[in-house]
Amino acid sequence: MLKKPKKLLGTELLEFTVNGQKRMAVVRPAHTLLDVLRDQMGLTGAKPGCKNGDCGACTVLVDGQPVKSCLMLAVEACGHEITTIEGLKGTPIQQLFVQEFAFQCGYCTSGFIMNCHALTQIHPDADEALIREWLQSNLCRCTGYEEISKAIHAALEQQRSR
Amino acid sequence: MIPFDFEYYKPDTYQEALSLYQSLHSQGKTVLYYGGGTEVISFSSLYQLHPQALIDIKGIPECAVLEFQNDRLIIGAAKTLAQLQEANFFPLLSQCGGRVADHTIRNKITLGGNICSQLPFREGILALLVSDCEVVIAGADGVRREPLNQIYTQSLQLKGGDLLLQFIVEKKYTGLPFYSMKKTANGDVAYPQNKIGYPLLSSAFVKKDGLIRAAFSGLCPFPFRLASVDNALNDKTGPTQERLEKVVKLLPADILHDLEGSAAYRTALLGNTLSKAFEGLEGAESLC
Amino acid sequence: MLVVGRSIPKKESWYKVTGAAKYNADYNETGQLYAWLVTSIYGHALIKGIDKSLSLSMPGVLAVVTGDSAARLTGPALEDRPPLAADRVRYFGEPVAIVVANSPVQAKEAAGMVKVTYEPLPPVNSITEALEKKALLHEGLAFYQPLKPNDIFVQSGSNIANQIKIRKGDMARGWSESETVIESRATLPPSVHAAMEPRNVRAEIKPDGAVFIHTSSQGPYDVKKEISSYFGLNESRVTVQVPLVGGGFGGKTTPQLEILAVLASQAVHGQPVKLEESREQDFTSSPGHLGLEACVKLGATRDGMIKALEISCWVDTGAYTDSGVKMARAIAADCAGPYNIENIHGDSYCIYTNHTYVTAFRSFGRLSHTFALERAMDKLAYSLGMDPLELRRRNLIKPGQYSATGVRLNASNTGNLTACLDRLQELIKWEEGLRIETGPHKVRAKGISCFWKTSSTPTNASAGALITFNQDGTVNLNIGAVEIGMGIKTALAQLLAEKLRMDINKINVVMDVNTSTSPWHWKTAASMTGFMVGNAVLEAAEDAAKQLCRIASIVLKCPPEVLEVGGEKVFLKADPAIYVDFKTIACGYEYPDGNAIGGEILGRGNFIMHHLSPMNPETGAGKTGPAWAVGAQAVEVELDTLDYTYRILKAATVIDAGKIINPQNARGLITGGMCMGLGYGCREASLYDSGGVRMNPQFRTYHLMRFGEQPEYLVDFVETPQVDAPYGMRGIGEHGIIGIPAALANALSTAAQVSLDFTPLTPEAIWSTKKGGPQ
Repeated sequence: MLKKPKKLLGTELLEFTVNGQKRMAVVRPAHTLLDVLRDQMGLTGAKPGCKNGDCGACTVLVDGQPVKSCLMLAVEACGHEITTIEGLKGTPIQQLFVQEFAFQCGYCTSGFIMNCHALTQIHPDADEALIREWLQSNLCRCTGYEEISKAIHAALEQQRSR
Repeated sequence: MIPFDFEYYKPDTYQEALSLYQSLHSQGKTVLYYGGGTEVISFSSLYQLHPQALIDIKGIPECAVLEFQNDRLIIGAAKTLAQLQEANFFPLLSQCGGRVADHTIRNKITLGGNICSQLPFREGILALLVSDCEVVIAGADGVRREPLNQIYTQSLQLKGGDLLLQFIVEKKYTGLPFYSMKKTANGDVAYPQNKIGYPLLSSAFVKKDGLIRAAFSGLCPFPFRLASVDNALNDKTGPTQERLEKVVKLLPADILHDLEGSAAYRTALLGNTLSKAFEGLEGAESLC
Repeated sequence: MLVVGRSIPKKESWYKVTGAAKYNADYNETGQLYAWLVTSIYGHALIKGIDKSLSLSMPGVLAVVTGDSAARLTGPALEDRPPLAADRVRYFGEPVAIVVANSPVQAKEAAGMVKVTYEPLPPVNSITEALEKKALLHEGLAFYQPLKPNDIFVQSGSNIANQIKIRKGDMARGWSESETVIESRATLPPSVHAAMEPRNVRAEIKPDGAVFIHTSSQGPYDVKKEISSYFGLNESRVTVQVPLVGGGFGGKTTPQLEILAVLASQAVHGQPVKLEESREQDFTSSPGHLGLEACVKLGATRDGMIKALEISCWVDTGAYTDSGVKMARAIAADCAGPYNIENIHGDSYCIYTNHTYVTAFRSFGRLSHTFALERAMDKLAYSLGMDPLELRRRNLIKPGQYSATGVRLNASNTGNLTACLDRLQELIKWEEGLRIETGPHKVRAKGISCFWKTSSTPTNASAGALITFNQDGTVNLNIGAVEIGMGIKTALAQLLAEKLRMDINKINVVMDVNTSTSPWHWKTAASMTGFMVGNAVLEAAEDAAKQLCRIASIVLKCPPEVLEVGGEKVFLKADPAIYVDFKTIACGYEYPDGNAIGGEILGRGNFIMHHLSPMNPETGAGKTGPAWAVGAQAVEVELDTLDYTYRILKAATVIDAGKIINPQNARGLITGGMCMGLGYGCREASLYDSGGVRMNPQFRTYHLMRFGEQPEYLVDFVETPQVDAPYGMRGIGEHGIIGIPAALANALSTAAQVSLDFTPLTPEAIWSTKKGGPQ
């Protein structure tokens, strides 16, 4: 576990755990996690869609929980396990998004997949109401959400029958 | 993107937090206690907030408590709304807090942060207002406990540097029969949350000792519970419509009229909500 | 068919589910600087002065660009828009200055330090105020240059930028034959595209003056043309590159930020500059979706045969015309909807207001016009006491009849709407009844709408396709179509695989577009890409096959005519066992003795629109597109009659798609369009205060449909081939949206038993209308 900094008064080199790897980044206190992931670590899978927490395109996992990385200071994420879409390798939900055509332009997809993945891990028994509550956090402008709904239901089904 | 810099501190104790606040404040800096920070980040990006120093309270043990101690539920100010939902020790609080923003953001928004928000809604407080909640505050004179209803008028009346540590609710209140409903411009919001948006009207009702207590958000520029409104709601001498008219006259401020909806529609929704709350709580009695 | 008609996942699927898919802002240029826009805080004001000294003194700031360096006007149809406002702002959010700095934070911080002094002017906040000339937005209107002569009919001294007339038949006869006449008025607000990827661009000017632009655009070739024309360069000096685009919906069809980025780069001696819009800027500074007001008057016989249509449509184009003038024309061309109406008097106007200017939006104006017309159809049905579906069925336009602009229809260019309506009737269970009370204060109701849409491209719109081969016999397909999410690259690969009868996995589609190396394509818009580029791809495939057969004929010692391609081979039709592999001949054939013939096969194809004509200024007669796509839609709602909240239970679409290339993808395009239509119908609107200030420039206050709010989708297809289109397909990318707001309003009007002639249909708006309040 990395040290959680007790203070950050100016720009400093900080250490993060991202997708299981130690990563260094030069961080100013006002940097959001999204800024650091994209601009310094080259992890551009998390997308800026509103930078205001409204769209969910920048969703990543922090200690397994979905978080909108535009609404978290980078310094807050130090010492926590950060997982981005680049850290998911061949998970069932990725396969199912492909299979169900659960994206068109793909810009919201990383965020949706991270949220879906967390849901399958934390609530493998999620019912319709819980699925809806979780996935309402993400916007998609291309699909009518039908395919995303099919993908998450199939992922939970797979999870349960495993 | 936040177009300016600030200092970030994350103390391990509330004593440390208080002394940091004092020293930063005495240097003339704008200091904010920082919980989930969603509003700080969002407002700062939009030039609507300009803090020079943030004191993150998530490392303070007292702020991270969530448990029953004897007959009391202790809720740390830094517990997130999602954590409160997940634990569900206080179902009415789960519902009121569980309709704020969206689920992913509730993984960051803390109860303390929600209640101290600059926005008029602060729905987390509704459940506390009807539950004789006590607030634990650390200040220059030490730690004190105060009844929420005494230190809340339109907002929590805190002194500069006061740090919100905990909320304490007696266990018996967490099991009271309740009715809660949120209405937005796009329709009713069920629980678990099925719609996103600022409330036109968000409300919490409990029934204690045969009497209804009610708190409202979205109706006025701040959440409120008023004894006079409770009295009017419990006065069953007239028809519902009359009770509604009485309640409207007792409101502590003009009814909100904003982008999401007009004052007139909010009033109509209040009427429907009151009917449903009466219906829902009719005959219900406390299990505790 | 081998590949056409199969649900093949998008070629870029695994890129998109792993974060490997790169969009424009994911890339950075070495040595790149950052720009941030300073935008107007007023809806309408004079700029009295801009003080950039403080901003320039900020750390890291290299330049502050203002409107005096962008004096020329621009616009895709009428040159009326300064890229940077110089002496006057005409909408909230209008770019006024650009700050260029070493870091994005420095640029944004310094942008806040540019002091602009304004003198506010009264804003024109609605079409009514524009027509009343509350203020004149463009005093120089008469002097503005249209890009094509006789294309735009401005009315100087007014806020009317264009008027298009439709004059068909004999109105006096039409009215005299009408036994019932109804009138209806509809109001639809401006809204935003809200593509999830905010608009952004990078630009660089090389030492030799060559301009390189990387942008999120549906029209890279238009960007090239506009930049070269604006900056006086020949087109070979301008290269525009577009990677995957994170949604467009029309909002990325015309150049805007690209000009600003080049101006910014100019100010820093050509260094690369990245300009990303915030969501708020994307919503307010870059163009949005039109607003519309419309008056419809319909006359019909007692048995429901429509005899006359009088329709006026006023398009709120915002501060500048951009595509607004063309959308006004497109609305006029399709003004009768898919109905046979012999007598039509139509006027379509493009109106300036102090709203954010508009550009193309999914359906190019038809969804708004369809709302007005289909509300009127329901009112006509009500007035006749006739089933609304039956009224529509009786009037559907059929082969042999003529469109409003005088185009003679046939099955190929129009498809079969009767079949669509019949199928819709089954899907939505129309016979259950239009309005059913399902409980205390609960009512279920259904509404329908028909639609049609042809394209409105330039009459000479063109597309090309280039096929090259690898040494192992696999194929590269290079086209100018941008992948904005509709799966076009995959669909085109399917067409190619079908034509060459080969494995689609052996076709590599060049995903990015580079205007210097990809063949020209007019733009990825108008649902015309499959048709135009598809035809070019088929021609290129034929060209490649012919060349392959020619080489193979030498190798196999036979005339080319007896050969055929398939399975990455060229073989004898009569005996497929005699063949030569693509890999043996596609990059030249080498004899056993080392001598060689042939060389790389380069398949080329192109397509240009034919038989299109401009609309006659007096009558509207003309042919704007090669064909229509037609369909019928329905929405079922459950309304709470206490507070007028409602649930959308079902939404149905049956469309004549000609030929479905990729069924699962096609369904997704339709349901995506339907969801967007429901969002526009029930909640979306760009809201302005009395000063013309935009009130809801964020997703927090501008609400989209969210997960779980979608209804049960019922989608089906009719397939009447369009004979001149690839395998008979019709473009359907936009169409899912067109009739949905109308069907929703029809359903809710039936449920609430009140005429709802506007959007957004929020519960409060229905409540207020029901109470007889303002709306």
